Amino acid sequence: MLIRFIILGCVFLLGGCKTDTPRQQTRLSVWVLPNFPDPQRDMEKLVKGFELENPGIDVEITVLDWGSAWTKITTAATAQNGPDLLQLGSTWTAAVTEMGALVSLDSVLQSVGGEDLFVEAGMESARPRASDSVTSLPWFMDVRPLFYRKDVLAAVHINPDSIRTWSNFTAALTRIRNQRPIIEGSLVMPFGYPGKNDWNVIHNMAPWIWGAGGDFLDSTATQSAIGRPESIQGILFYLSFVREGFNEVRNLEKSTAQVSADFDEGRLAFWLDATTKTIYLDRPQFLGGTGKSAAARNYACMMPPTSPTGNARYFVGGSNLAIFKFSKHKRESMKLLEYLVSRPDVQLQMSRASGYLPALKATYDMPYFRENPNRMVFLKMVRQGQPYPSVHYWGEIETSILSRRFGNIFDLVTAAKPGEWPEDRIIEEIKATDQEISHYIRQQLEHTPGLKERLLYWRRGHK
Amino acid sequence: MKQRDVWRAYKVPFLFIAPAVLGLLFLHLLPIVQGFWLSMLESNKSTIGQYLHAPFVGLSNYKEILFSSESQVHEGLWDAVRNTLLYTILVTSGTIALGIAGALLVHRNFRGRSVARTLLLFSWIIPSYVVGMLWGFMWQQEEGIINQLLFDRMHFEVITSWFGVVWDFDTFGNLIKPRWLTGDNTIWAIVIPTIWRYWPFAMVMFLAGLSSIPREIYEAAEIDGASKSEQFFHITLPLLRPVIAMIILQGIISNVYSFNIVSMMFGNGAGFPGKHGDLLMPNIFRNSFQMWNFGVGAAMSTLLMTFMIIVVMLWYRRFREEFSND
Repeated sequence: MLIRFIILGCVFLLGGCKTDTPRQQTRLSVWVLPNFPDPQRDMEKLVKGFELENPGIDVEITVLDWGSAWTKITTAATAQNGPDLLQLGSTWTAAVTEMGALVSLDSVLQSVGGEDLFVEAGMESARPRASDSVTSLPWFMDVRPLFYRKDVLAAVHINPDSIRTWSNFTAALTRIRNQRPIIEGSLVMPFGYPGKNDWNVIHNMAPWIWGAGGDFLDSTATQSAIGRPESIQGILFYLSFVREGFNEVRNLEKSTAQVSADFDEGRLAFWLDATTKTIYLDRPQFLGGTGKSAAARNYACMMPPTSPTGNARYFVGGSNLAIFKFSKHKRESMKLLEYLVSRPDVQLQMSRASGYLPALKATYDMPYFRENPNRMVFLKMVRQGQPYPSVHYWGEIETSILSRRFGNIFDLVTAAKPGEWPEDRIIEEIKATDQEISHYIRQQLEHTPGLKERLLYWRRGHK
Repeated sequence: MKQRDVWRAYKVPFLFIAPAVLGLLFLHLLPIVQGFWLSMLESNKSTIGQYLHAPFVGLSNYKEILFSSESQVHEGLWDAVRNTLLYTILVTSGTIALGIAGALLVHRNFRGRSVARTLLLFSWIIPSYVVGMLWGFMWQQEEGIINQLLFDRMHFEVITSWFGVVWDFDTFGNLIKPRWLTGDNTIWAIVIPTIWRYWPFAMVMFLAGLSSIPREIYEAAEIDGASKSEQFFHITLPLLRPVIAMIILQGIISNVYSFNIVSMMFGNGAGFPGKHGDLLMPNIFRNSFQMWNFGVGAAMSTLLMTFMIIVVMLWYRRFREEFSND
């Protein structure tokens, strides 16, 4: 009897030992950019649900700074040492794909339900042109609506619904400039945008170039199109806001954050910004928002006006999620990626916290979007949105050539004497930009055998 | 002594310095050789994975930099070279002038001298990227404190108009203040903060130099009837020549390789300083890390390094006597 008890005791002890053995934990390293007001904590909250659903997986979040992220990501890609899962700006995916550093996500895309689940503009960057497979999945979208002050428009007797076209918009700006409304002690200027000292120069200019029927690159992405008359017309129209005194020249020295602060403090009637701005405008001051300022109480959003040709195409950016080839936890990374991109509840949570827009179409059916007029504007913009061409050399064209050349244009504008407008020199600079881009693309096509043919083939398939 | 005898006589010292020499070779020579090799490769984002095995293109990166009129690298290079030369000369001379003035000021005995010396070091302890960001705000046309001080408080336009300077006014009759962050003025927007950042270093060096000049020399000069300015030009300046030489060298090297201030002043790294503010290092950075052209970036760095070796050799030839034991 004693022996039986001893054996039974041993069995219990061993059983107990077995259940107490710690489970093998997988630690997933994830690199993200500062997408949220509190980037680290908000992102940790977002993946908390995943960790609870997958008790064997711990997610370690590293938030990269926008300024250094590109260098860190590409260093990781070349050194084959970095995170498992990473966030890529939509214009970066083609370049990192070209480096051969990303896992194909075709199977993940199929398992979550296919391309139709996601916003079209998001899928364009997920499958770079000339690439056979999907190397990232869209996580969130970024559009730039026109923020405006309802009280300012009411003060100058303009119905915001009447602002549909470039001429309506110019008429509204003219009336604000001439009437110089002072609201709550602040003189309100019609419009504001920053100049050369900013990352957003190209995003701000894109809708006006596209609106005029122009483009940065031709439809095959093998030639520059910035020198075409339509593109020049779009740029000149955008710059005319400075010439006409709607946007003060002093704003051209500022960054987005500074001009954005001018809107928050009630000094601007119109302002183009990312949808994340709503988070700050809607929040009380103690949570880092703008509280009950005149701008916060009276703001609304509209789509940027359409050109005389009727073109209405808006810049859509955003970010995708990708997995490095060298990841040792591909299966777990794919699980997390699926969780973040394909579940409407998670996409909604991300959108509520960050202000960015979901890449998953189903999320837009939720009351959070359907019942808010501003978010309905965002939805329309996402649908009519256009991303930059998803080719591996776009990043250099955007960040180095266009930013520098447009910086030169802003220098010409700011250096002009009162009453002078250096239109000829601006056009000359645009033509030089055109040549430089075409030369750079030619070099890239020479360096990558077969790329031109693949791009032309891609274009034929998308006509 | 024959070479073999030298080796025999100093075998042990040579053995002791061998690790240091090998370390230096490893730390300095290897990256230089690697950089030079990279400058002859077609190293871009498609080939960076191959690193030093990327396709060999000989001197074509150098040709593109120096002669290709279509290339954006070539076009921007000469602006950057001109600006860097101007920037280096202005900053180095400004730093030396202010450093000497500051050192002469705090070398005298007065109450609170230690506090004054400490306070004058203030700008030197601020990180250069913070200096870039801060001055970026300070230079702004309307909101910036510099224009506010110069024009709203001191009415600089009135003072300068006495000397025939003509200012522009807008349609409402308001003065159009200068724009420092765009156009031709950009060079001043980067020169002045750099001098502000580095002059305390020169002051400390000159202060050390001044302390080492024997008091008796000045006493003898006074007995001979030399005025204060004669003492300065005939005693102080000549005896400070080794310090001046060191600061010139330090100034040339740090200003030619200057990056942080200009990079942070224009949109936290986002902006382009313009044709009148672009320096060589931000230019090389853009070509290497934004244009993904590591081969061209390495070629530009190699050219710059060669130029700097020549400059340092010329410097050494000019100031060799200051550092000889004889």
